Amino acid sequence: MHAEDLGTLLPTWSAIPFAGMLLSIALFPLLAPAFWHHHYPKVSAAWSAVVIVPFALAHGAPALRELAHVAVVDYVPFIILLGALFTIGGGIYVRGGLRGTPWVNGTLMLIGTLLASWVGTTGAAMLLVRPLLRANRERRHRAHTVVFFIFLVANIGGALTPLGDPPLFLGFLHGVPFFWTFAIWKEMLFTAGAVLGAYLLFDLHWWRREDALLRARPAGAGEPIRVEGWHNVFFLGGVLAAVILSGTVHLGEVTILGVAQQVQNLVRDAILLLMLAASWRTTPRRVREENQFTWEPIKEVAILFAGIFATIIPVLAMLRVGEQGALAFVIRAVREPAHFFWASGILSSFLDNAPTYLTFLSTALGRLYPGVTEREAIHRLIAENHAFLQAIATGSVFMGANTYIGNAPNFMVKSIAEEAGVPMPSFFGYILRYSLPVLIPVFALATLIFFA
Amino acid sequence: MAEWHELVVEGTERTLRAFVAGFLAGRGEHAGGVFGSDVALAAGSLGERLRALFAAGSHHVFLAPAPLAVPLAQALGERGRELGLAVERRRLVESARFSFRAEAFSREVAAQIRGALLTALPAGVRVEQRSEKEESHPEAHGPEPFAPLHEYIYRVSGDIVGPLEGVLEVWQRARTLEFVEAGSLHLEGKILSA
Repeated sequence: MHAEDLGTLLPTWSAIPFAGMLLSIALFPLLAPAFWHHHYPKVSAAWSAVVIVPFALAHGAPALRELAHVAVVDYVPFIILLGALFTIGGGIYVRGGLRGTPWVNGTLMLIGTLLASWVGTTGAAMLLVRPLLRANRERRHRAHTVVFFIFLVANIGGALTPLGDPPLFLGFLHGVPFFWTFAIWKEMLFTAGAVLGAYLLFDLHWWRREDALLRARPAGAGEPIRVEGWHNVFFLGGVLAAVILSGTVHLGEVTILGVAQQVQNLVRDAILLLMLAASWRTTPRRVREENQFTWEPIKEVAILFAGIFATIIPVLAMLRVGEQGALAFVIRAVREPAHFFWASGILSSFLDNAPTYLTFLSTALGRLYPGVTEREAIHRLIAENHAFLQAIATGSVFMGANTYIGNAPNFMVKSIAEEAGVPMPSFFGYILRYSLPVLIPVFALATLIFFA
Repeated sequence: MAEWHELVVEGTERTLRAFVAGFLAGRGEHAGGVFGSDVALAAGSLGERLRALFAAGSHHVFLAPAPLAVPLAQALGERGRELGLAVERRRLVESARFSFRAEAFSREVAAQIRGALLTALPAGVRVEQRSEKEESHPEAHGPEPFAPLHEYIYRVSGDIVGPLEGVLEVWQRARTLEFVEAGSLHLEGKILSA
């Protein structure tokens, strides 16, 4: 029995553990943070077991093959990439004091937005959030600056390459070419430009309400800017080269746990691990301490994404068979690129954007190319219906900014800012005061321009 | 502390502000008293709210120590009519109150909040309904993406109650502390003239 056959057999309720897993990640940090902090591995394991045990008992070898496939092709490379980017990015520290004027803040955000596609949204956010907070330490109105930083650096900026945001790397692992993401430069330019413009208007407004002495203080009075751990840029280059290499050369195929895996992908993962180890060995401990570097974020990602990748198996299988599967109602509900943009975006706003991307990619493939193998279907999607993939990619990446729970770095930036004394808006305050008035109109315009 | 009066004046706010500024200048003073709209004074009874709704912006509150409020009310009575200003009511403010709540994640900020709102209070000012809680989570590991937990959490709430002058001072302090949400100012007193 093939995976495609499994998709026609699975009932709708087999998607419940996936929904439960994503809702746990979204809601527990808000409703019961201490419980979640201590017990998230058990919650993840429980949702995984709810899928894996009956799935394996009912479908035997095909089910185990699906599990092994997800582990070998998706999960392990995904964790290795995030681990490498996180470790290398955590080895760079920007020291010194800037003066938090609207133009300095806007420039920092522009740099972060451009950087995010190359070091990942998490890496760029971690690298620049502390310099931004230091620059604005004496300002009375700071929360809006951190919120726009989340919009631009922790989300929208990651849209240009598969290194930028986890959903795009998952797309790459599933066969989307590395450089395809450059195709969404217009969407990114428009969205980032509009949001950055809105930020400058906001900040100029608040800057005029700052203390006159603060506004009059000359620039350049603080400690000069200095970047420590510069050599890690070389390791980032190594990561970039390895990922591009794995998408352009073909070195044959090997079988791991019964799953065919390309040799170039194994070479890529080996190089990434090498870059990670080299960064760890060569970066002074002091630099990592300044960045408050710990392995905890990667441990969280590894444990929770194990649960996500396990529970997503039945969902993807049902979506891949299109209208033949129990999720045919989803396939029928989203028909146009604009639907995919908003559907993937709204889900990404409240659930993690990586599984959301995969879900809607499978929905598009199931709707347009049911029964066709995934790699071939993706190539045909890009050649014949690229607007669908552009809508899914931009919706998943951009709209992760809509809430604190839309993308992993959002919460990290919020925590760092709060501990630095910035009164961040509440969950609903963030949505009502910033997302609804700023992001939603920009996304509505983007829909009219690019997906109508 | 001096006795404070509340003047409820009918007319436009701009004219009232100009009148008060001129009155203070005439006395050789630069400041004295505060406008209700500057200190988020709570709306009064339902009747007052309805009146404010139908005659939008026509009633304004000025709070001042008695040595200023009494001659000001007198001056408004004598010269206000020609400017469209009339004292509708003068009330002795016996006590004032506002609610506050705060949540902070650093010990430094918690100490600032505690000092400003709980310990160094002006004479006669007290905290009622006080609820204060500190949590320490040494198991927190710095910034985390999916299971964030602050190493330190401080939560406090209560009502600041006492003579208006002192409560106003604490209200001003609360407004400068970013993590504090200060509620509207409520006044209690007795009518002196209507």
